[in-house]
Amino acid sequence: MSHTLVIASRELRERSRVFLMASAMAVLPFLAALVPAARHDRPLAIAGIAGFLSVALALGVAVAQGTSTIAGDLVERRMSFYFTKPVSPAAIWFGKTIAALVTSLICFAIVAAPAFLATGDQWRQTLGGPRMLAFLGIGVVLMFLFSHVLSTIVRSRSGLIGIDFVLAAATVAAVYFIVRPVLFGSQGMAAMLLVAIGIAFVVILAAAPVWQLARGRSDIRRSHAALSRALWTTVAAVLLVAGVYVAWLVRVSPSDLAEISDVEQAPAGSAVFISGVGSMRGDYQSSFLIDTASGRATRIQAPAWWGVRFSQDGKVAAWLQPVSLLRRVEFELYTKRLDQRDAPVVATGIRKGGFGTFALSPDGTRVAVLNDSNISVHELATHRLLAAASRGDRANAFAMFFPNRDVVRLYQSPRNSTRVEIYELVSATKSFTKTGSIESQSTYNGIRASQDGSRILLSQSGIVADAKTGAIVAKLPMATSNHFATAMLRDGTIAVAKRVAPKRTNLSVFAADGTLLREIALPAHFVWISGETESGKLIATGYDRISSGHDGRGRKMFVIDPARGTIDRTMKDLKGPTPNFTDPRANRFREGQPLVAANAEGKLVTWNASTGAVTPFPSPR
Amino acid sequence: MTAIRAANVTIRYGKRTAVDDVSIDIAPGSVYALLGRNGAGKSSLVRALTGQIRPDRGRIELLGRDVWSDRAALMERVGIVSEEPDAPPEMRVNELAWFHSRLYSRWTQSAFDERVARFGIARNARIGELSKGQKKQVTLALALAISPELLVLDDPTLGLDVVARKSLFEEVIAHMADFGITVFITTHDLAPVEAVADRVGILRDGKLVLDEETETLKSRFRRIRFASQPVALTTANLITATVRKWGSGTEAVISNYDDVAFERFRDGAQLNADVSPMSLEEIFIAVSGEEGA
Repeated sequence: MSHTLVIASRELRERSRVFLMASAMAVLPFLAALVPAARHDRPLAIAGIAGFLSVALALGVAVAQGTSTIAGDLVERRMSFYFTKPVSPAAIWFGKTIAALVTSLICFAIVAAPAFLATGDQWRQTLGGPRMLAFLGIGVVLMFLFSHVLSTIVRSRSGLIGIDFVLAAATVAAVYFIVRPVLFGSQGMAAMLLVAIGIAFVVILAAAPVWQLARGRSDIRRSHAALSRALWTTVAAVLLVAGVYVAWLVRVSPSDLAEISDVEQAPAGSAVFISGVGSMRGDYQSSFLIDTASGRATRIQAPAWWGVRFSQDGKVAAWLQPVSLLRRVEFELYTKRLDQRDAPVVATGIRKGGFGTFALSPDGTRVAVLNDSNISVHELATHRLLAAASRGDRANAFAMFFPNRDVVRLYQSPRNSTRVEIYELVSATKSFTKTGSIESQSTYNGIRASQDGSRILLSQSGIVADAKTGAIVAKLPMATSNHFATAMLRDGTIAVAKRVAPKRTNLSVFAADGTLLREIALPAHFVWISGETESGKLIATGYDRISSGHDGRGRKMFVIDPARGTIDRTMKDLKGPTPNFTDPRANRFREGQPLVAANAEGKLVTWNASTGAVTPFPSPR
Repeated sequence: MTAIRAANVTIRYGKRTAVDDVSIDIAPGSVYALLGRNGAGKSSLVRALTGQIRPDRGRIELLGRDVWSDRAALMERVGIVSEEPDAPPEMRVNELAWFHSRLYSRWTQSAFDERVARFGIARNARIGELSKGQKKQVTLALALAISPELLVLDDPTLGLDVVARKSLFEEVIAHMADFGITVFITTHDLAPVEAVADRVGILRDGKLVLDEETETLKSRFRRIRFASQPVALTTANLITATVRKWGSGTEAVISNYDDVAFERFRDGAQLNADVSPMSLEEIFIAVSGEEGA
């Protein structure tokens, strides 16, 4: 028998009184079940009480042993019993640890087993099966290790206690700041990193006492000093490794991106937002604002799933970042001016809770923020609140945009209603007014607006209405069963992409009054409309499978002339800018503006919709 | 190879120095007695000698190996009787024996059984139920049952009755020494030590103020009583450890007594002086006492 097991065996024998106490507790659930109040469901009473008692006892015994098994012996000068024997510190620590953990679990079993045998299924329904046991095991281990460390620190009464607590606080802060940047790129990887650091800390907690005993031996203060040294140096090493890993993870330049997952192009100017995944970096999404003219890139921490908003003049980009790890649904608005060289990223201090949205004014000077129950407008230069209003609880918001600098228009429905209500928040008067409503046929309504903001289209029902009053102008023959994309074009026509057969989509062009003007057959299963050029050409991306990856392989881009009903150009293996999902107005592109796309290898290229020329993306700096 | 070698050992607890630059060499097969008043640093030195604490300075070797780095291996060859019995009070005597039998390759069950029986201790008695003396006896039986090459006894007679003390010194320690086992002992029980210790060390305030063969020590210390007033013993190159009034005369303890030198001095000074040898206990008091040299 190894020394570890000999010590474990000896320690276990010492704990026979704990088992006697557990045996007494095992009777309590059966006695409690005799109480008249429990008569109607005795199995439930037995299982519930036994479950509580067994778990509480196991965890309590783990804590009690953690505080006494080493620190208690040190304080009572009993550790010399082991150190005068031919046993290693590792054998002492692991022998005692095994005994403590086994004691806790035996206590659990003593209380739980009779109730389990008596109630069977009721036990499983009330407390769960092996998973619950696994959680209990983890809980017992953690309780034991933590209480051992705390007990050693506190019972030594050494001056190091203050340093320990400062370092513990610093560790928590360091973990926070290490994991936080990962959260912006991948919640999954942030969680995995947190778990990995947690596992490393548990291993440290389990191994550091060996060093404690090897260097501190039978003196409590020296033991504490040795434990602290082992603990904090290894914790620092883990944090250093994690920090270096995170630094490497987030240090991706745009040219390092192996896969492009999102490309958003500013309606004017040369700015583009891209996000993608670097090689060997899991699903961590890096996001950048890039000036396609100069190649200058700015790393931003916009979560890839939300992207950025560009003002219509292309001079301002704005995005949301999670505020903290603990409050993952609270976001802060960040902005960057795109028309000024070296303009900094600005944290506005404007926060948004829940899963609302925000919109920029056409000139990028104001932002409207939609929260769960209110709407507000802020001036970006000063971060001043200009106007705010309650928009009612539990209303479903579909779209929000600035028809002009002073007015924000909001489209929403009361909960479970098919009525779309239109509101305007006017900054100058601080008034929030309902200006109209539309009876839709759906509780969810995708809304598209004309470029001048005068008309809207309810995509699901095909209703074309006055954007402010909701007065119905036309009704398009829409079907919601097929995937489609819609856009209201600057000449007043409306484009609707609708799948009519496998790998075939029709782009229907309607006049402003709802008359079908023409249909254009597109050879693709799905189509999204990226935007419209100044000359009225539509830029669309087609693809045959939704899960066709993040690159341009298998995709194609179309340059469509809706006025003539022709496809002017088809570019294979390119994935173009995504549509503007939050601003209901279609993206506008200047004539000849280089459009950014991902090619078949997932690399960025620019292409010219007029000439079809594809050029490598200027290497971002 | 020495059985115990401590070189310039210093042990501190915070700002307090418990052991101050102590060096000891103990030959194999000898009995070494370390004496000192309470708080002199004996237990700290013993804890360092047994690898339980690391000296802040200096190095300790047992049986030729560094005790700090090779503690676990060395403890296989070293029997230890601590000042305070440290066995868990819930354990029974036979459980303790079982525990030791699993840890020590040289464990001899019969030797343990025999000693425990001789001490009159029940094998199923719990340690917590035993008297302090009985606990010491059980610990001693455990330490001897591993056939140690070195026996470290930290105040082993504390709590023992007169018979048990006599047994410990005359039968056990002397017996061990006869078999070539080195014995390191700290004790307040000086009379029996005198008979068995080959060498004696005295700690005072953490410093080793004396480290000498017992016989040499006893031969150089003498008590001299003068009927008259104090005289200048230094003129005869005699060093006084203590000088105090004795009746109408003076009593001096000489730490470098020499018969020839003293006789010459006494004859020359025509002194009426009574010279008597000193016990180890008297020497200890003279050396470690407050007024000592």
